[in-house]
Amino acid sequence: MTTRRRPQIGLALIVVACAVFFIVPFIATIRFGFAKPLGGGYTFKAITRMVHADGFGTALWLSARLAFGTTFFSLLLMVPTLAWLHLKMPKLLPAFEVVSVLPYAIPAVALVSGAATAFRKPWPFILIESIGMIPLYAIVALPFTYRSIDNGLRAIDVKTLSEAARGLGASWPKTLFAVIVPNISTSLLGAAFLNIAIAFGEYTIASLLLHQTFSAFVVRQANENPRGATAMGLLSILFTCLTLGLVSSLSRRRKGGRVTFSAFGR
Amino acid sequence: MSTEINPGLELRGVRKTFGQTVALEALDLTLEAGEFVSLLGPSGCGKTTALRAVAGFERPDAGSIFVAGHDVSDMPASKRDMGMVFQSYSLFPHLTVIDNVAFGLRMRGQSATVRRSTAGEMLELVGLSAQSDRYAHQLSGGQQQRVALARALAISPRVLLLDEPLSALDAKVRVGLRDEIRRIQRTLGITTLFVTHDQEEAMSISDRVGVMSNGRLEQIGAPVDVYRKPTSAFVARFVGTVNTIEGTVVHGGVNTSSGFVTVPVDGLVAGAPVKLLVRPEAVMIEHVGAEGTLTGSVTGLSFRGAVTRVSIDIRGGVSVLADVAGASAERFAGGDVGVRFEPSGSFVEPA
Repeated sequence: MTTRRRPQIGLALIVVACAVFFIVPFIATIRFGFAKPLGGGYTFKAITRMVHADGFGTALWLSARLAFGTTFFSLLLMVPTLAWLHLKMPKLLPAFEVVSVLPYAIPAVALVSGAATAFRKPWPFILIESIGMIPLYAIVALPFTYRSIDNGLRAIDVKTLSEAARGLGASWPKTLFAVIVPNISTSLLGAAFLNIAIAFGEYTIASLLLHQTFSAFVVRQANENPRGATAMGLLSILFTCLTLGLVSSLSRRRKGGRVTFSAFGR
Repeated sequence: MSTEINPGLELRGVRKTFGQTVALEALDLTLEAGEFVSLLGPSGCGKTTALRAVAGFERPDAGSIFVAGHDVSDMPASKRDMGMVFQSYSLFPHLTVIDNVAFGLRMRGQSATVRRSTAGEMLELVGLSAQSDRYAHQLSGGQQQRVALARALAISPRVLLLDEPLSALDAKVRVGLRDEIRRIQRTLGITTLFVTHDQEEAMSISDRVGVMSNGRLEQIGAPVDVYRKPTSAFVARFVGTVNTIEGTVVHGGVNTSSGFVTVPVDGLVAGAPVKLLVRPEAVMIEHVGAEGTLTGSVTGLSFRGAVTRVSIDIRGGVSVLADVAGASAERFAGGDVGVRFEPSGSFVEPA
């Protein structure tokens, strides 16, 4: 009995240690971002000052556009590519998986330098226009986009479903959009969310290319209003957690078959 | 002026290879309009490749495929107007039963009214009207395959292709759905190509059965002909059980290590080594010493419901199986018996 308890106590200690490791910084962040500097309760003053600072709206709007653009670009590129690989060249999937994780290994600085060398002459807008960051963000998000869509495609019998659709008269685009996409919708939602999170959180590329994105704005503000920047960071994390919860909840509903589509509903 | 009637489906010299493996070796096959033909064979014999080539999912290396006289060889799968039911459950998980059935009509741009009414009719045909608002995961395997059948039929296909649609179902459901497929096929008069490795399934519902081996069509004919007059040992073995006895041709029969057996040996030279193939139901058990019988001892009985399978060791080294109606074979247990082979269920093949 004693020997049985020992591992349990050990496990409990590890869980508590991990919880402390994660929770204490959270509590510290809340205290630093929202507590009154001289004590005596909490306040939203720092974050309100942040929101009213010059450039907040512009930076938020730029990041929102980049998030939308990155998500659209990533999904448009990766969904047909991965569906095609699964259907026609499944043997190449391991090689593509290796390629997909390269952005983990390549630092953003190297990515920007590479893009500068490659595109300065043919497509300088990539380095000048803010929209030019979309392909770079899509590369940074590639490991997450790939994994999310790949998991979705592995969860369905994509070959049989697409052959059934083709046999019933669906063209390739219709097969993709009327059969494959609706059946991996939760994975796409997850991929979209991760792209949004990356587009909002990415700092290095924006900073090197001199674009005032949301994260660049927060970093700049950290010098003048460190409490506000910390509070904003905390809110971003809470937003991320809430969205993850939403995706997870949709995923459960999807498995229960309650997310519905109708051929007659139009 | 003569009116030519085109066959429902025709494969002319269809060949398909995967790397070094020949999946189909110049396959010729013709289905009359409204005919139900089964392709039967072991795994890897090419039957599914043939079906997929007809559906447009595999592009043949050579040969042509005609549907009602029109060459569809270069047509994409989406334009071929063929209804297909797959081995694995293929209903679209995000759509309800009725939306699944209406999918093909939606792809053809039919109005919602037409889609709803046609899908409703098809569901009635397969007896699943009450489940129209359910999703695939709420149905049993048998129900899913019925819906898949309704979905395939809803587009009024020129050919119905069935790729082992019953193999994932349990025995009782399989038999019920098998009969239902045949009933619906007869009602609609649709040309149907059915692929299976289950000989009983193929024999029971087909107008003709084609037995395939190594990418070739070994034999095609009415089920009774394929069973009773197999053209090769492979067909005889694959379609039902068969006893194989080695021997040499003599006048009027075959000499085996256990004695002489009377069997038609037309066209075979005396002294030629042959294989004598005998169906278990053609092995007659009589009393020891009866005229024209070989003597053997019963070594085992296996009760199979309608028949009992009797294992007999014939003196001289030949072992055979005999099917005896009902449980009457019990009386032979452990004793000696006379064995005679019915010529109608016995075939000779050069060794």
